[in-house]
Amino acid sequence: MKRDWLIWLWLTLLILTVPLFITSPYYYSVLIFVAINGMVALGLTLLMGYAGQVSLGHAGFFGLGAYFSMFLTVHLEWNPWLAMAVGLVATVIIAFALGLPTLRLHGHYLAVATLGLGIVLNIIFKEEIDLTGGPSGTSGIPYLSLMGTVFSNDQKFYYLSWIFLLALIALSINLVHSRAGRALRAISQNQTAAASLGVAVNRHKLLIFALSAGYASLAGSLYAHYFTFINPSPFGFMASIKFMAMVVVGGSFSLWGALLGTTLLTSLPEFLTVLQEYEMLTYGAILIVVMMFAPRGLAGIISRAAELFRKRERPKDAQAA
Amino acid sequence: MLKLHELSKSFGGVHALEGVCFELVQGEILGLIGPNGAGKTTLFNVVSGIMPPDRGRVELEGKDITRLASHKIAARGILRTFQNLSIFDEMSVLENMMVGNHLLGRAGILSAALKHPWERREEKRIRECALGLLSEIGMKDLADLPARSLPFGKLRMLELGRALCAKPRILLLDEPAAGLNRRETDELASFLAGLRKKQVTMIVIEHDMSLVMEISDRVVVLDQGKKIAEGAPREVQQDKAVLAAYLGEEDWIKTLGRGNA
Repeated sequence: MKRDWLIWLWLTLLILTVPLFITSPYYYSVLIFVAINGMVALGLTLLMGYAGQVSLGHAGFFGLGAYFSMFLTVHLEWNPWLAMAVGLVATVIIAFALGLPTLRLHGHYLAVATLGLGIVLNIIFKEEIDLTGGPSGTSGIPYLSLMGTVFSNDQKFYYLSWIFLLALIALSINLVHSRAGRALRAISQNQTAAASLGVAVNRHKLLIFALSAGYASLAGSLYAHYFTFINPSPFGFMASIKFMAMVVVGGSFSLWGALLGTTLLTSLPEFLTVLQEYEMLTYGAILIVVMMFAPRGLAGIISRAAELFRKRERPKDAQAA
Repeated sequence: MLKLHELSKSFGGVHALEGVCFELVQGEILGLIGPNGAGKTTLFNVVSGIMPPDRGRVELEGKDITRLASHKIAARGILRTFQNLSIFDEMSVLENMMVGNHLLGRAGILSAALKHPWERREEKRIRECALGLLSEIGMKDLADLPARSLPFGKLRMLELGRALCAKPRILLLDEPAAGLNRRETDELASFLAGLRKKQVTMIVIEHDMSLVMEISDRVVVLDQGKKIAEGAPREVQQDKAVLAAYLGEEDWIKTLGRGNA
């Protein structure tokens, strides 16, 4: 736990110093994407790594946040912050409604149900033109502002998005090292044993699913207010796969893994433009390679390396253990 | 305190349990024995809510708990261990124990994420309680090691300790000595004897007959899903039906008979 807070602190310092070296707004936009995708991946890590459930529809929740924010601010002219909060609550309620029947069942029912939900939501985004603007999207979403600061340029939004991500990481660190977090990890490792110790398995799975949908919704709202324009394409099935790939590549057993995976898979296509042509092919290949050679992801490789290093440093300790 | 009434359970055509009745008295250790496939583990699974019985009732202090979910049965104080270890491998020894303490706390996901002051106090209490029990089972030094790095004998003790964290009123132990060497078995026996002094009621499934005979107040014998004998260890050892059930399993007859010699 101390180690997690230490990493969190270093990350915060890093985020504060990075602007000293950034020369072009383009890099800000990449880092903003890392933060926004990171929020989704973080929630997905809690769900996949800590509760052992798979969601193939998180882009749908991401989209719900974006579309709630768009609709409430553009059509009803609500305050953007209020719209974000309402979108969050509504998304969490929808996740509850979907999770309640499916999480009672063992196995991969949640994966299938979320896959379906993601597709249905994407159809709604495309077809309900009066509400969503349809395939061509809706523009004119207002910028977020707080006490006179309007988050209208990349640099300002960079800070805002990372404050959100760092806050969610902080909440997640607390959660993971708590009674509920231990219960979740116990469920993912041995459900029967967890239940036999009094852990309400279904309730915990449902709550973490709703929470992770909430993270995605917040990310979606930020996305909408950053671009001030949304259309259905970033919220489709392939996006859900991308989020899952970020978690798997990073290593789902660690919160930091989500962040590593997100950073890699968000920035890599930006810098290797050649890859963009074959984006999905690249994702597929990366997923297969990671599954085969590093099932615990990047974070797994790093922690294994650290373990080996420590053992070399202190052979006595290793023997005692 | 625990009453099993006409419990039956079949899997396809196999009758794992057929009309099993017995009662458990507060503070006693009940040995549950029988040849392989007699239905002992099925009985534990039914009592602990992992699978519902086809017929019959389980009563805890007069209250029907037959079809309650596993975690609710645990909340009423019936805790168990598993024949095949069910340790959370990817967690530390201490964290395993702290999952055992789950029922002693009540902090949920939100209060944990926001780190309420009372949640901190509860965490501290849970941690201290788990550490206390770890030192009782002699594993305090191992607290921060990943559970997967422990040897088998320690894992058995860890699982027992983890169940004890929940302050069980009734403990169901499924072959706690399986895979243990002689010395570890002796340690287990004296530990269980110590628990009995603390009035923990237990049902113990065990194939190690000398252990069963040493620690049990009473013994129930199952064979092919039916109860074929019940009584003090000495009586059961001489019971003809029991000897017949074990016929062909020579080691068993030897260990069963050893009490007579």
